[in-house]
Amino acid sequence: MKVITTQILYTTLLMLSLVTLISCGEDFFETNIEIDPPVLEEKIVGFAFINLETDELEISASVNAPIGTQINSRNFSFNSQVIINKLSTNESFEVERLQEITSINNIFGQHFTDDIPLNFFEEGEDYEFNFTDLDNIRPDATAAVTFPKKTTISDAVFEYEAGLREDGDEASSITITIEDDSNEHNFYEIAVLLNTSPTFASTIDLSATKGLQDDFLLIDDSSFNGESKELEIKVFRISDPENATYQVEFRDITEDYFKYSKTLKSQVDNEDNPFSSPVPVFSNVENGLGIISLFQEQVIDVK
Amino acid sequence: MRLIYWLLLLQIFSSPQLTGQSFTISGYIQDAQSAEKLIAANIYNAETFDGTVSNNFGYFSLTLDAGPQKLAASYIGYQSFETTLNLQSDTIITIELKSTAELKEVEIIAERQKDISQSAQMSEIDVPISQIKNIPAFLGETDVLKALQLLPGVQSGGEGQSGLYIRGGSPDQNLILLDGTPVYNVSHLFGFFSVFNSDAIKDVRLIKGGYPARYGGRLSSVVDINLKEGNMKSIHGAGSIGIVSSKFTLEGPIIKDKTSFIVSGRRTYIDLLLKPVIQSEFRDNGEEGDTGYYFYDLNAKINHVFSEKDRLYASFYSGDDRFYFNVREVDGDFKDFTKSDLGWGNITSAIRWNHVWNPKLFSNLTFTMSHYNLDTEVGYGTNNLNNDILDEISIGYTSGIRDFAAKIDFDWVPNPNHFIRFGISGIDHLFKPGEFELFQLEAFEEFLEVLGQEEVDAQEFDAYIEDDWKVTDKFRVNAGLHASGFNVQGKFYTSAQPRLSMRYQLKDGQSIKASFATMRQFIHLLSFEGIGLPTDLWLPTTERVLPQDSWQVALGYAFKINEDWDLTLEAYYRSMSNLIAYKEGSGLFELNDWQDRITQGNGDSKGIELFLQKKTGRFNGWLGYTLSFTNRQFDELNFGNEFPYRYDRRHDISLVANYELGPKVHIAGTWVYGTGNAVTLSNNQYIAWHPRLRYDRSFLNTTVEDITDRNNFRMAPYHRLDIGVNFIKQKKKFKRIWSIGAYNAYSNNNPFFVYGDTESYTDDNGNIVSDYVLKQQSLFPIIPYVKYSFEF
Repeated sequence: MKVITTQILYTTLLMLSLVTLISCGEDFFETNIEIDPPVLEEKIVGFAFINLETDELEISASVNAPIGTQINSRNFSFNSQVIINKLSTNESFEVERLQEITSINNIFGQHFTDDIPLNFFEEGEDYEFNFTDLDNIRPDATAAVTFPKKTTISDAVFEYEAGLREDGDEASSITITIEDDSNEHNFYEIAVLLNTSPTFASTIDLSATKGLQDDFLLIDDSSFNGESKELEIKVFRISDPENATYQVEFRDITEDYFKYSKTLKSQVDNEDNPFSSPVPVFSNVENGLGIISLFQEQVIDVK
Repeated sequence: MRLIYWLLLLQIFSSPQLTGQSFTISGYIQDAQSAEKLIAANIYNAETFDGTVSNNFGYFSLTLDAGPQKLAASYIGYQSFETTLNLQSDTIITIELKSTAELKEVEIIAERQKDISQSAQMSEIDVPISQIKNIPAFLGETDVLKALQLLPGVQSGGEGQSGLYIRGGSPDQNLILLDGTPVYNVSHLFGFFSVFNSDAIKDVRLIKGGYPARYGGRLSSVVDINLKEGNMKSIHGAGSIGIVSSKFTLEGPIIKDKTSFIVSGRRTYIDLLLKPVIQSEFRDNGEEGDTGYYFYDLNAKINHVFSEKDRLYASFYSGDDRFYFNVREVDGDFKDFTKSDLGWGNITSAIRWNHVWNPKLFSNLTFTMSHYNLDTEVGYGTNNLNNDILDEISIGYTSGIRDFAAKIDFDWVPNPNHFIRFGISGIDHLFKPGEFELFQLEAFEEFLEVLGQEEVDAQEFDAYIEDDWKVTDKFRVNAGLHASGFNVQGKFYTSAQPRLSMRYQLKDGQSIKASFATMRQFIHLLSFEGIGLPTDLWLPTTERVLPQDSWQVALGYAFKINEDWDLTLEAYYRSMSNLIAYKEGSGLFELNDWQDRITQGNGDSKGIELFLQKKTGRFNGWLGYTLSFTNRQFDELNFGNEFPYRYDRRHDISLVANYELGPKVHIAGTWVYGTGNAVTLSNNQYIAWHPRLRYDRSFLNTTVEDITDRNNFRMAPYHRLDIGVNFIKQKKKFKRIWSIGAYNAYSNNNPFFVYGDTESYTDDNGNIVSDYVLKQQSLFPIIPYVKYSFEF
């Protein structure tokens, strides 16, 4: 019996050794191997930020690219067409594509017009933006957007001594009164201007979150729908307020743009954080990427 | 409702045993050699097959007609017992079964001989510890939880992880009980080993659906682990020396047949072995220091028999992991030091008092304590040459949970057709959801600032009643109600959870089963969907964070093919709500309120499980297959769209085989296959624009990754073969076992995680070109092991 046991022991050890040897290819201890990435699906990337009072349009139509590729105007531009439809009147017009790739604001794949049909953009109206790849490589992309209504800001009051800011510095404050419309779920974007230049603004109001830039605040009216909302915004306390002018730049924005801004900020803030969960950036471009945003803007002088 | 109540009472008390003269046989069933109580052993009338099973303490109660009765008892691995009693009064007996290991050298290892087609309970599997010990294990460390991962419906997380993902649930949804005490952190070494020392364990039971009403507080499963009680007759011991750790267990009587004890300890020792090498390395660099990692477990239990009616059990568990890195560099008359310390662990204890009120009524009163704590500190500073600290800056982080609980459970067996259980319990939870301590010592002045989350105190209350009711010979029902309440921050949550399991016996050992259960869970584990980090946070339901709920329905078919082979087929659907997850972009180590960092959502899972098992014979083992679909939906994640759960595993196969070549050589092998985990990856990017202000009319631009959907990419399938051989020899005074084997025997490159990278090269035109590539990181190639074990 002892002999049999010994034989089995040796056989087993031999088998183990054989299995090990068979497995010992070049990459036996290679614990890091390359695998095929998911196939890239090329898409149109559309961006537009249109103010009701604008007299010219700038729309970007570019494409996505594989990660790791160098981004430049060559590989992001393509032969595209952009048509905007006003759904209530079925009126439409094509925005002209600029041949010069890098023009105003360095927008890739830019479309531009300063010849907007009269009364084409109106608040409360629905619009459809159609992006077409004239070379038929990427699928057509569409975005449906409604022009938001303008909200009344009934008051904007400055207070010089307003406690401390979140970082412990002395603060002044600007309190604006928003007359929120009860029929809509409204979203706002706010910035504070000091002598016409943007200045850092913050608030502890739970309805607010930071925008992509720290001097922008994004507001969701869920907690004060239909009410007159007093929003206190903290700003730097300056030494000579008599010689300063404060203004509040207030935008009525779409829910899509609100989601886009919030998720874009979140992805940018966490791109190097291994302990955060991944953040997809919102897009309202069907079959494509990007954001088509319509907004109303007003600048309020602070008392 | 009242009518149903009276009808039930009428049914219970109108049994034949109450109308004719009948008497109750009660007592304990135990191992003849050690007096270790046997759980779920069958005790029955050998002629009518009316019977019952012993409870968690080996106690049974069986009421039979007066007169001669042929009583039988059976339990796997033991010789059947049969005796004839002339029943003229209530009788108390202790049934002692002899282990078959005493009868022959070849130990029979298998599922206990319970006819799977008989029980009303479905989705329940008892795994004998002897079988678990034979399964080849990673580095030779026998692991209870990893053995459970080989069962259908139970999935592992990643490579080597001991977390259990059961029917679409997450590891925190498993109620893991050690002698009735919940254990919160069940893993060592970032999940590679479980905290349960197999040498101290008597019995493991998994319930993954159709939960009996006596269990509550978790959504996914119950893993009920019972420690050995200690040999009442003589001193015995066991131990092993392995690559990673060594362990030793000693058990025996303090007062023969009255009081017994068991003590079991395990510790890793790589830190001790490498200490001289590491210190020498530091010295070569002109530094002093040490670094290392270890974990240990300690189990202890005392069992005392006061009388035939009263027994007391006191059990204790302590386990810790610790990683440390300390270095001091001499700089003139000073030493600059850097220190890092990461420690986490559990302490649990339980006192249980069994009392037999009368032959039909048994109670167990339990007091438990469970504490999990994570404590980490990182700092640097200056010492003088005597190692006194002159200045220091450090940051510490602690989190944890502590429970004190009391409960009383009753088993009432009014007649053989009913087994009624009822009880109440209360738990006081104290949650510590993460606290930072900033410490500074400068010029002999100390500054300490504490930041982070306030402790939360909460109380949980439970009550239940269930009846295992043999309605007819063919139809059996286990019906019950579990009620629970949770008091936190001035709010009181309540829940009523009905439970129902049914079995209808077909012919030839076949039966169909169905079950429905609702569950509520008041505590949450906030974790990343990756490896089981000790930094995972246990959090309470609060005013803002709602309790998790689920309901599950299952339909099954059980077929006892013959004495050796069993087949079980089950289909289930499970719905979960108020699950928690980090909001997109949120994560660990933030100072804001944890409630602001999480979001709640829903999940569901459906699947089919097949379990074909050969229970006895020289060749035994099983085949498990699971086909499942598991999804999550959170309003604030993935734009509200449904996405696959990270551990959504379409196919999961486990093959376990044991073969006894002879009395001295056992060979075992396992092969597992699973669809790859779902992970979130991006393969493309674009430039995103963002408008600035009216006055400069400029646009910001930034490059963003296009993440189309959460968990949009599947890693490669996971498959692995483990093999092992045990060489057993009975020496004069002890038995020794040499175990050798290999984990991942054909050295498959299994995916651990996948990441994107950029590789640059020069093309034919001399241009430097960058390519995006995906890389798969694997963890373990073939890992052989050898272990020496002994028993005496």
